Amino acid sequence: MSVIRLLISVLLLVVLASSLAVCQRGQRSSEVMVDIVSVEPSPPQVGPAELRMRLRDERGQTLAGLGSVEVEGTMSHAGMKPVIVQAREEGDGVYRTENFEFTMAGDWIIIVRGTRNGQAFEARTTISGVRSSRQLPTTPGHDHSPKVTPTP
Amino acid sequence: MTAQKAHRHRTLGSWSDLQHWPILGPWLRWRHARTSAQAVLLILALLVLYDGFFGPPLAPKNLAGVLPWVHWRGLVVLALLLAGNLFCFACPFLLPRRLAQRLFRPRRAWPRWLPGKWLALVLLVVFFWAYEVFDLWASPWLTAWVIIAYFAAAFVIDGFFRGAAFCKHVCPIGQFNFLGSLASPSVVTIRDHGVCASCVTKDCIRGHVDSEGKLVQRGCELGLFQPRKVGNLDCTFCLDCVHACPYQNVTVRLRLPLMSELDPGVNRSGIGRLSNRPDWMLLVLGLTGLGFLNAFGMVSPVYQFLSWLSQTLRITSEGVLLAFIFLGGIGLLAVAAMLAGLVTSVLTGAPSRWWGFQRFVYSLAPLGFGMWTAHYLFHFLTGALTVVPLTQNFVFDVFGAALLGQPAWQLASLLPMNTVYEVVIFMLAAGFFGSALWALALGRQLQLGFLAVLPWLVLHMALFLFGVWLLGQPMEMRGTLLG
Repeated sequence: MSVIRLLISVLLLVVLASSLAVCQRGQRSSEVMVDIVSVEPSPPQVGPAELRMRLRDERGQTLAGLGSVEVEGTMSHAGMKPVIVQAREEGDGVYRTENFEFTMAGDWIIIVRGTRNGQAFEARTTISGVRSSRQLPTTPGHDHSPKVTPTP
Repeated sequence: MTAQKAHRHRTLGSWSDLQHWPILGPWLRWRHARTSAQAVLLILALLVLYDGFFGPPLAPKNLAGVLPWVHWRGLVVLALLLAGNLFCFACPFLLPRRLAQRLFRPRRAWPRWLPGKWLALVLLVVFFWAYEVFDLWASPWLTAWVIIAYFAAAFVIDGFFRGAAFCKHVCPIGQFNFLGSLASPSVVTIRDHGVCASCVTKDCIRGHVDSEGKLVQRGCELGLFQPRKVGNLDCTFCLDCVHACPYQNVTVRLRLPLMSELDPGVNRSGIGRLSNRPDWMLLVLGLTGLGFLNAFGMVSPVYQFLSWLSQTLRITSEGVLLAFIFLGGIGLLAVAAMLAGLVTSVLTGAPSRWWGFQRFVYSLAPLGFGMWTAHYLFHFLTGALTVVPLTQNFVFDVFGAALLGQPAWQLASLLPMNTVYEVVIFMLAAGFFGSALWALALGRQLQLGFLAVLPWLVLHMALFLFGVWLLGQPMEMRGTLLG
């Protein structure tokens, strides 16, 4: 009985401590938004690809002059190796990836990281319905027609 | 038994008795061994809950997206294959359940109108349907709610009904583990039948009481009476019987997987004859079918099939279409198994047309478990190392400093992709051979000819080839994006 009491006390302390430590971890406030300008090949499919993205600030103004940003492509299912590349600015707040590759068919999450005015930022968007080499029809319930979804 | 045989038996017995092993043996004999293992998993579960509710919405960046769906599932099947039913042993959901039993002292029996595994079977199918429809793997938040539901269900059910009602009749994970543990190399069993024959208190089932009549150690709450217990079905490895036996006559022993599990006609304590248990038969069919359907849901052709089905049935609801696929898939397997059983019955001149089905349907279990193992090991072997950057990121977010270094997001796979593919095919093949050997050994035991067993071998082969095709398909991950 004393072991159980001790265990419960320790667990309650763990819960309390972790709740106090941080309210919502990993939720970096980002005032940067990213829009996918183009994806090559179009529609996107498994294999090497080139993404062009426009970064915007909270007022919708394009973010120019950052030089390069890090782009991570990952998937909705955990456990996959993300694709992490650099994207260089080609002007007017548009950044182009180098050596990006869709390694699997499905829905991709694109995370852009960089530094702006000395502050790290992170912005996310999605590319849905990356196809395998074969052409696939639309699936009911899962809107996977190739599209990009800007996310603030 | 000759002196030589007796000596060999003692030697093997000593080596195979895990309680005689250094370190492990004393730990297994320690009364709080299970609680200590449960505490570890409870802390992990609390971390997963915390991150599921308060962490990043992206599954790959969240402990609730990674630990349950990549690591826990992979480690469960590995443990079942290499050791035993370790997850049930260390199940954290049973800690609040134990609290409920102390608080409410339940005396009600599990309702007779809901016997056996029927409820667990329905919950299994509903869970895997929900897994696909709501993309549970892609939502840390929903994953956290599933875990909360588990804790709550164990607390409420075992606070209301006596015994281990939750484990025996409700828990879908437990049923998965019971069937997986058929292939496990260990079993909780007795050392000496003579000791049990002379025992009058039967503490292993009734529990151990002290001189004042107070219960100081529970017996088996799942109703498995050790002297008549056969194999691993319904055994949670809780070790209550080990601690309750006043003669230290119950232990955990190594064994040859499957060999003691083959005969569905044998009377198992707490279960009866498997050949008389339609709920167990459907559980085997359901878990085998779900193993293939769950893997089918992750490959590209499923979307073509869904599209075709949608146009054919003129149904656009994904939930309804998936329900058709789930029920249709399991139904198709059931019909194939019944046909195989019918042929076996006819060829053997059995008194009932169900005779063949009732005896041989259990031979599907290794193949079903082989498919689950292949699927779960695929995710584990391709993503096990993601826990490293995830932990680094978690520590960074919580403490505000990279105490474990910057997240190394490039870490993911344990093995090269080609090797992973070979491993998963090997697992499926091992399941196929397990099923085929089960059918052949049972046929030999029942003195049937090869032809009577052949329909089952054909069914095993068809499923195996379907599995090989499935595992060779390109994976396609679709699901809830950005939480």
